[in-house]
Parts: sequence; structure tokens; C-alpha cells
Amino acid sequence: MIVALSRAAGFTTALMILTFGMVFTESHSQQTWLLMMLLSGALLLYSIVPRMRESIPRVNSTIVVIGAVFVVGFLLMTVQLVRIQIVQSGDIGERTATVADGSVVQDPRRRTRDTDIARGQILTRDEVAVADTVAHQDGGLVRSYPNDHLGFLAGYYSPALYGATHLESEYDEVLMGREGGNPFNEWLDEVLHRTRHGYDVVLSIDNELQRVSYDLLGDRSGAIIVMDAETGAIYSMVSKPHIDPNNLYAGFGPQMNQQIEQASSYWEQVTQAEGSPLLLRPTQGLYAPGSVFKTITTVAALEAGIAEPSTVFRNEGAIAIGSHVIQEQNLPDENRVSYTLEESYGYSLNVVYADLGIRLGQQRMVETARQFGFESSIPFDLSVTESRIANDLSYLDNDIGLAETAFGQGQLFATPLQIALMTQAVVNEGEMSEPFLVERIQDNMGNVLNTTRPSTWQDAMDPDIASEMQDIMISSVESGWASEARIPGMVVGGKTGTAEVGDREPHAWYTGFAGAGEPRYVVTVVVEHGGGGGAVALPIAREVLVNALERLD
Amino acid sequence: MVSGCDQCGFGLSYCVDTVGLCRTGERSIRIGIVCHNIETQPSMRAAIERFRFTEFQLLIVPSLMAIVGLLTIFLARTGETSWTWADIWVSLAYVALLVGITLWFSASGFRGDQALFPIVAMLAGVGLLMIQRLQPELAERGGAWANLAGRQVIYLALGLLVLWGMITFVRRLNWLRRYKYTLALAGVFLMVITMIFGQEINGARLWLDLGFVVVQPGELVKVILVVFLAAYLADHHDLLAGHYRIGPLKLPPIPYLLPLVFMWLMAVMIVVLQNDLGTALLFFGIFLTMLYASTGRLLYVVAGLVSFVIAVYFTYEIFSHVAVRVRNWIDPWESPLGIGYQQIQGEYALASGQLFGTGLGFGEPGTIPVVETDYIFAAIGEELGLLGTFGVLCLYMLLIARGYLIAIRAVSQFERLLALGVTTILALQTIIIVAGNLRLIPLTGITLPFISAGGSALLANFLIIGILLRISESKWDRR
Repeated sequence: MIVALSRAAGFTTALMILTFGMVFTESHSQQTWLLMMLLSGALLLYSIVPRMRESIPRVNSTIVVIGAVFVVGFLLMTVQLVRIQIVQSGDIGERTATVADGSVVQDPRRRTRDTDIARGQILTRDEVAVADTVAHQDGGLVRSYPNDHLGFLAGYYSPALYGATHLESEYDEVLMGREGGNPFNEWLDEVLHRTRHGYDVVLSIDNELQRVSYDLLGDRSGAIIVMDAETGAIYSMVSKPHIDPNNLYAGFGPQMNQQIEQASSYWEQVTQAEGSPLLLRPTQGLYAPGSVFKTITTVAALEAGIAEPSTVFRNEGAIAIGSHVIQEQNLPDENRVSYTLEESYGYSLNVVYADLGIRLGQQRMVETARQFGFESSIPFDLSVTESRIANDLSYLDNDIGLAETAFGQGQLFATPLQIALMTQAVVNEGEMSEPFLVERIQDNMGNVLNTTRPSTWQDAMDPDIASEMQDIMISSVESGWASEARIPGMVVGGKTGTAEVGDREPHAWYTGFAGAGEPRYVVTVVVEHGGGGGAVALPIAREVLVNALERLD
Repeated sequence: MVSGCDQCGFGLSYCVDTVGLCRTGERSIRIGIVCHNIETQPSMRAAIERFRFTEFQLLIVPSLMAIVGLLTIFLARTGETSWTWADIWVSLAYVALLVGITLWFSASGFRGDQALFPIVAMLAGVGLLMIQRLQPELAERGGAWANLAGRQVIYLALGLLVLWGMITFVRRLNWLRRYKYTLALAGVFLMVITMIFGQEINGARLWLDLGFVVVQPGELVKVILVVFLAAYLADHHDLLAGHYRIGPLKLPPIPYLLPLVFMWLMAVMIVVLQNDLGTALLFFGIFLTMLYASTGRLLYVVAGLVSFVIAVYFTYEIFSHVAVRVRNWIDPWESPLGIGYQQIQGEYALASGQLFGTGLGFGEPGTIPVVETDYIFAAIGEELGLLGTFGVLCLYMLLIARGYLIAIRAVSQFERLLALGVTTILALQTIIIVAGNLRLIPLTGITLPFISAGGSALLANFLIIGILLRISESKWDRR
């Protein structure tokens, strides 16, 4: 009885050691794991060798013991096989090393795995290729980005050298046909060795609108986003300067060496180029938002109840906070001192907003900014850099910090996507949609596998405050500095911004919306060091909106 | 001829039930079998009774595997869906040989174990398929490898011929016992001429060039070693109990001490002179196993193992080639393009197989150097997945279990030790090479029985199966 129990205990302990080792040791060949195997082998041997009666000839009982030793040996080999082939198979396959002469040791199967599959296309909603897989004239498949105004959206794809970024990276498994479809069919395809086609990723981008906004930005650096006011679908997204991903492609095909050479020299060039062309500005560019941030301050004031759109503020051309004096630069009329909140927004009066900021205080400022998505990563098809209220929230402990932040300077940094979403929340009854770039996934026969369903990300404000804010933005176009943005017969609202950045020219901002009867499209434009928002960003935004209204409705 | 009761062994009865008493005339022994005397029937009845149904049925599986497997390889290679029987003639010939042999066994009234041959046929079939599958990769290497796949088919046929010859012409094995010293001398002679005249391939001196063919005498030597040890230990059976003392030391009796020292020296010599850690491990392992089986003393095994490890440790210190193997085992990534290359590529292959494998012909086992011998197990792992490798391990386990069962049932001590020894050859070889592939022990260049490419190994392994089959029948000799 005791023997039976101790055998059972030995068996269980051995299994526990093996399970523990498989989970907690790093590699299948490390010494701790081998020792664990040895130990559990001894325990297993103890638990399986049968007790033999005296009457059994000695040779026969020793043969049984020898047999048991081999059984344990085979058991341990099976455990190791399970570890190598199942538990750690991914880790082992991915392990690489770079040798002294610079050559890379990696699993040669990776190449064939990737070159055998025709990687899926990335298309605009009207089926123009953003990224395509085409046959090279000398054989093999090459990733190609035929359109300048679209290619950069895909990111680059360079499996033999630099990996991949943006959509090429985020949707890699889908483009390779390994994810996104019916898992059973994908498994079946693999088992039956059917020719694999990657799935196509169809974007919400409209080719013509994208071309127009791409051309409008011209040679200037900056970003443009056009978004559906209700769903959050991105119709156009421009980032300049950008790379030509064609030059970074390096696959495992027959032209690999030539591609690697080309890609590495181009890589050198773009990493040293001015203006960081590798940065996808709409989602990764952090800019001081300037006056467009006044939208959030206004919402905070309306929510806190310290002002109504018609509340009158005094503006005497300057405000002193201790020894710090903020000069008003945006006065429409030197002789006027009283402005409603609505007018202050339209004329972008810093003195009024400095005062509002101080009255709101740190907590309410920070809370409202967070409701609008600051300091959190926006859920999107691409990774989005977090927008910042301040490097350190203690900056808002004093009145100067509060005042500067309230009119969009201070230590504020926002991505263009963040600002576009802010505007979108205003016209969408306070609800911030989850923005999306990928509209659907389809197979190479055009069968839709998955369609993105618009969804709400978070509530930025109450619907009635949103509606008040929307009216304020409309009146800013009707009677403020943004009046150039008017489009006859359309509801148009917006806000210009001119973000001071040290000694250089300020960033020019415009964010707004337009639509027939009700807002349909949200646009955000930022031109780096472009100058005044009204003079530089606003005309671009207006032109883009006019095109969007003509084309998409 | 009379058919006999397999379990009671009196040869007069015929089993119809598995519970009850065994009655044979006046004697009645309770062993769980009901036996009835039956009339001796004319030859037709006898022919049916001795037909090896179990063996014949079990052979269906390796036959199907060989045909379907080769078809898969052919179709995967060409990418087409049309084929003719000529494309898989190799498998058809293999199946014909299997069927021919089992029919011959039946016809000649052979009554040995019926499971052993199908298990071996399955393993050899896997080996045949893997080498056929690797043919294009081997051909690319050129030289002696170019027609290896073709040669392997001939070796396999020769191996089956050896098996057939063993059953047909060698009626008894006991005569071997008388020639043990002659055999031992022959073994030593073979070893010595290999060490002197041998060809060095991959740093190990194991091959002997006979002009028309290159052979590996070591493969035969291991069988000779087992025969000698079985005879020696069986002869000195009665001396087992005695031991004597030198001061406080309790030493085993001289007849055990001498071979222990001799074997230990031989193993160390193999490591040092032939640069072959695997063979040394194999020889010493066989010796310890047989010594333990005949004496039942664990102490001898422990002492032997400890002294072997000490010897290997010192050779590790002195000889760089051993040190390189051990270092490479601990971390092949130290030199991923040099000595570690093979091991790393082998691991990539195993890991890429996962559960189901890529399918025969769809993986890239050709990226592993010397895949056809050292790393054939990894190639199976890549293309047949964990299911394949586990299946192969199960086959070996069955083979070993069957071999030990034959040893337990053997009638004489000599045959018992012989069956045990030859089975242990197969068991140890499998463990040494598979555990090496899995990085459980340092990798050594030993072959995977029946699967790895290599003519000498295949012939020696079939010789082992012949010996086992012969011993499994020997209980009938008592009549």
C-alpha cells in the first residue's frame, strides 16, 4: 500500500516537474531543464518498475528493469519532442543570429514560406492599388506601390532586411492569408498544400480625394485627414514628406541581393534626410495644437457651467499673470473690449481663454482633455502616438501653465488624428467614433470576409454641449477669422490654429467640418512651419471639403 | 506435423480458449489456457494452420504506407496529378519482397514471432520513403551521394535477403557459443584493420574501402560483440555468486572483472583513436546492460558508468574533438555557421514540423547537413510532424518490447542474453541518435536503425532481426 502510494506520488511529482520546467525554463536545451528531465526520469523509473516475485528467474526480472529504463528514456524523448515541435516551435523558428561578418543565420523556411504566397493587395475603396504584388520581369514576385499619393499609407515591406511597418506590418497575417478568413479553410489549405493567396485589404480611402489633398499640400510638410463625421471612416490621409516604399522592398526572391543593396542605400538616405520621411504624420506626428485646442477649453467651460456661448468676457488687449504678460494678437477691432464666448472662439482671443483656463483649474482642464482622447492610445488600424497635455501635469499647477494650455500652447502636443477626432466628436453629438482606415478584408476572388463596423470609442461630452459647440464652430466660420472657409449652401464650421514653435515659422492648423444640411465630413490640416492657420491651412481644408462634398455625396 | 499449444509448450495440444486448465495426458498445470488434443490432419489443414495470418495482416500497413507515401512524394515533386505504376516501382518491389518473405516463412513452417517482421517492415519503409524523398537534395550534392537513393533500395533488398537467409539456412544458434573466442578475435581484427586502413569521413575513421564498395565493419562488430558477451556470460553463469576482497574493497570475481576492464579500455580506445563517441557509448552500454542482466548487480553498472564518464571527461580535457562536441551540445549558437550549423538547422526543421508536419516532399530537410544519416529523424519531424516522430518512437518501443519478450521466453541462458543484447543494440542506437537530435545528449554520428541511409548498418540490423526471429522459434526445439 505504502509502495503503491509512493509510486503514485513519484509519478505525479515527475509530471509536475516536467510541466513546471516546460513553462518556466526558457529553452529546451538549458541545463536546468536537462537536470529536471534527469530527475523526473529517475522518479518515473521508480514508479513504473514492477515488483517482481522471487520465483521469477533473475535474468527475466533484470530484463524487465532494463526495459523500464528504455521506456522512461523514450518517454523523456517524447516530452522533449512535444516541447520542440509544439510548445517552443515558434521561438525556435524565429531565433536568428548575426555573425561577425554581418551575415544572418535564420530559418531558411521563412523565405520560402513568404515567397510562396502571393501577398494580398491593399486597395482604396474604389479599388486602386495602394500596394500590389506583381511578377518581376526576371521571375519571382515583387511588392510594388504604383501610386505616389497612396503608397506611403501601406508603410514599407522589407522581409529580408527591415521587416515591415504600418499596414504592411499590422495586417501582415491577413495579407499573407493566415488570418482573417475561415480558420478551418486556412488550416485545410495548408494541409492540402493548395496555392495560397493572401487576402486583400480594402481601405476607406477615396483615390480621387486622396490625390486632390495630396496635391494641395504640395511640397510642404504636414498632414491632412478627411474623416466621415458619423462613422469615423478615413477618406483621405496625407503625410509629407514620405518615403517611396518601392525602394525599401527586399524580398527573398531571385533579386534579393540587388534589392537588399538598393534598400540599404535608400534606408541610409531616408534616415538622414531632413523632416523624418519615415514618420507617418497623421498618426505619429506630435504638434503643438495652437488655437484648435480652444475647442476643448470651450467644452470644459460649458461643462463646468462657468460660461454660456453668449457670456460676455472683457478683453483689454493683454492679461497679466503675476509678472507674466500675455498680449492679445487676434483682436478684430482695437476699440472693442467686450466679446461673447462665441466671438472669442471665432476671433481666437488668447486673453479670454487664458482667463478661462485659470478659472477652470488643473483638474477640469485635464479631465476634459482626457475625455477627448489625450493621454490614451486611440484605437486604430495603425498605431497612434499618444497626445500629451503636458510633459508633467504639475505644469498645470500654476496659472501661467493653465493659461498657456487653455489657448493651445504650453506643453501641449497632439497628433492630427487626435484633433480630427476632437472635431468629429463635436459634430457627432459628443460621441467619439473609433476611427478606421480598413473598410473590409476580401479574398482574391472579391468575396468579402470581414467588414469593419463603425463603433463608438468614447463619450467626449454631453449631446447638448456638443450641439452648442457645433454652433460656436459654425459661427466661427460665419463671422470669425475662419470666414474664408465658407462654402455656399453648405453647413460649414471650423477653427484655425497658429501654433508658435520657438523661433521658426508657426505650424498652420485648421480643423473643421462641412455638409449639406448637417456636417458630413471632418477635415484636419496641419502644415509644418507653414505660417498662419487662416492663410495657409484653411484654403487647403476648404478645397478638400469642396471636393469631398462633390465627389462623395 | 502437429500444431502445438504455444503457451504450454508440450506440442500435443491445440488452444481453443484462453481461460482454464491446460491438460496434457496425466499432467494438468494451471496456466490459464485450455488445450485440447486434436487429431493430426492431412497436409492441407497443416498448411492453413501454420499460415502466418497475424504477420500477413500486419504487413498491410507498411505496404500501404510505402505505396501511398511514394505516390505523395512523386506528386509533390512534379506538382501533377497523373501517375503510373512505374513511378512507384520502388514501393511495389518493396511490397513484393515483404509479401514474398512472409509467404516463404509460412511455407517453410517457420513458427517464430509474427509481430517483429511487420514492425521492422514499417520502420524500413519509413526509411525507404525518407531517402527517396531526399533524393533530389542528395543528387545536388553530387559524388557518392548522387545515387544513394538507388543504392539504398538495393541495400534494403539485400537486408531482406539476409533475413530470409537467416531463417532458411541457419537452423540453430547454439553452435555460435563454441566459437566465441574465434568470433572475438575476428571482431578485434576487423576493428584494428579499420583503424589502420580505414577511410576518414567527417573526422571519424569508420569506413573500409573494398574497391567495389565501402563498408563499415563496426556495424558487424557490434553484433559479434553481443554474441561473444552472451556466450561468455552464459558460460560463467555459475561464478556469479562469488566475489573476493582486497583489503576493504569488494571486487567482482575475476571472470567479470577482466571483461569489464577490457571493454572499458576498448570504449576509450574507440573515442580516442576513431573519434567516435557514439560507438563507444553504444559498445559500453551494451556491455553494461548484458552484465547487469546476467548478474543482477546494479553496482557493476554504476561503477562502469562512473568510470566511463571519468574517462570521457579526461578525453574531453585532452582531445579537442570531444570537447567541441560537448560545447556544441551546450550551445550550438556559439558558432552558428561552423560546428553548430548542423544542430541549428536540425532544430529549425523539427520545430517547423509542429503537430502535422508539412507533408512528405513539402518541407526543406535538405538544408540540414548529412540529413540522410545523422538527422533523418529531424527530417521526419519536419515533414510528418509530431505525429510522425511519435509514431516512429512508438514503433521502436514496440520493437524493443518484442525483442525483450523474445529474450524472456528464450529457452537457454545463451539465447536469452543474445536476444537481450541484440535488442539493446537497436534500443541504444535509437536513444543515442534521437536524444542527440533533440539536444538531450551531445550529438554523435550513429545511425537510426532501419531508417538512416547506409548499407552496412541496414544489413547488420536485419541480421539482428534474423537472430531474434530465430531465437523466438527456439522453444519448439525441445520436442
